[in-house]
Amino acid sequence: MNILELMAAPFVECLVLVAIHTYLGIHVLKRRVIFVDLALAQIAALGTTVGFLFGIMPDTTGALLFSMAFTFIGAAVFAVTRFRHERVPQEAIIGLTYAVSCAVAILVIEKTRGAEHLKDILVGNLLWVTWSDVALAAVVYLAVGGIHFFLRNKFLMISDDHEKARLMGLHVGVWDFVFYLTFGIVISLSTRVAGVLLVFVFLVAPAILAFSITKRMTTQLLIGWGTGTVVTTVGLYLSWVLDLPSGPAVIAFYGVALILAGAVIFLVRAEDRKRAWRLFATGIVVMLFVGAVLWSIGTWIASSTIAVSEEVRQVETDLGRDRSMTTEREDEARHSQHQVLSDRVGQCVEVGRIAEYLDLAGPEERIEFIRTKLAADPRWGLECLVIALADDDMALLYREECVQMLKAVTGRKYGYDPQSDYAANAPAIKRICRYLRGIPRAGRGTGAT
Amino acid sequence: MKAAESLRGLKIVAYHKNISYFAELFDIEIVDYLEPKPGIPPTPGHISAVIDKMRSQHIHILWAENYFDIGQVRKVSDRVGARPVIVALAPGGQPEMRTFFDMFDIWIRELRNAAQETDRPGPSSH
Repeated sequence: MNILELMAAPFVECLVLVAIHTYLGIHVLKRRVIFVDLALAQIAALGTTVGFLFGIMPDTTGALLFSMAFTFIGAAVFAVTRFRHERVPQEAIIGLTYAVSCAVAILVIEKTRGAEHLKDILVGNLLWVTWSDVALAAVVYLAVGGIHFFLRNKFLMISDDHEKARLMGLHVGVWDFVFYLTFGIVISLSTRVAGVLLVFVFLVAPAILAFSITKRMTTQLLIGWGTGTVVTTVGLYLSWVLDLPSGPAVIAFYGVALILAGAVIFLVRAEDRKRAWRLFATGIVVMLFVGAVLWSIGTWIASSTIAVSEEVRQVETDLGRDRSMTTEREDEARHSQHQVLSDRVGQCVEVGRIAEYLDLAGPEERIEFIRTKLAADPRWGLECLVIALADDDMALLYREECVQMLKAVTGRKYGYDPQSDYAANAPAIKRICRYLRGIPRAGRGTGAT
Repeated sequence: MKAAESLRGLKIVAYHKNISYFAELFDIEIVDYLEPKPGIPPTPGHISAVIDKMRSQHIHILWAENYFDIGQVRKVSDRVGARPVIVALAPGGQPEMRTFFDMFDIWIRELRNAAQETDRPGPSSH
């Protein structure tokens, strides 16, 4: 399976996500409501969970309706809680909404079950994205994008300066509601697929970079889309090459890319280039120093607590050791079994037959083996048969079967009683052995077949 | 029990490592797990290896427990080209599963249905 086959759909999904989230992210930064996506995603999840309380399975139309209804409520909450003369930052209310809806979701789940569902929302899994997911996302995001395009002036004005927008006669509350509603629809769809973490990064990271470079919306959009596409592509590619989970790999690479871009912007923008480079170099030296200190502390702690790590290793290898101990014990048991059997019938069977017999996994295999050997080489088969008859590990049923075979070949039972163990059957075994010694051994050639 | 006999040697892929004992008892071979570390998304390399295995060994059954999002499991099995077998992991986990006996009956029934539907190649002979 090649990279295209596995990663094509996730890759396109990421591009679709970048397209809408970069745009929305710019609004989010302008409005200073950074964590609104977390809150809305959580509210949508709460909706699904409450639906579950009524017996509606997640991933059905009913569940979707529930999560949409809750998103609706969330949008209303955020539209209403934007106070005119901010005494409390809205971000506080957003954080509170997140915490409360998360807690309520846990309370609801306590009444039903489905904790797995809550976890899915956080992590998501990019690799399971199918083409129908991509198509659905594209259609919904295009619709939302269309609405935003037609209402762009109003939305932009409110995002830039809601006081001014209010002065110009806009119903800020109403438009905020529309904004958060469309936003919530996008978020609840994308978190289902990509997980809260990745969606948050898609929303904020390209916008941060765009903001630090320019103030013009169009340029910001282009920068955001460009970097989003490049970073996502490289991140996904790295996750393939280095074999890392895709979502976290993309997120981490976004972090690295932002740090690098920040450094470059700092160096380019600086008025005093020399001073900037000096600061930059100092920064790197400090980072290396801190890293070295951490590393040496880490190795020191590790080496001084070998006992602890040993214990951990022991726990880790417990399973493997258990297994090897079992095989050891099995080896021992097999050895003693071999000893017993060779004491009992060693004088009339060839050396090696007993080991061969013990190598067979279970009684069924042994019976089968004896049967085929009896057909191919009666002497060999009889040798195995007598081993089986002397083996107390063979259950009654199997010994009965062996006696039947013995009778079929020799015409006699030699007084063997399958209901008794070796102690009672020893004379019978002796008789069979005597009979066996009377049969000439087949040549090596046939014996080996 | 007789029904379970026919599962001998059946090869499946499971979502999590949940049914090792059951699989061992009935000689069902779990070839691989989609999410070997529960909760941590698998890597692309792992997924492509599993899909390759499923293709080359003609494995068409994906075992998943019903506490996973069913839509999610269907997506996964679409992706890897398998028929999902979705069952509860413990009695009480699905309506007709009241006792442990029910549980095993249901597991075996579902696996047999899946095996027949996907027209598995005969049990692998050792």
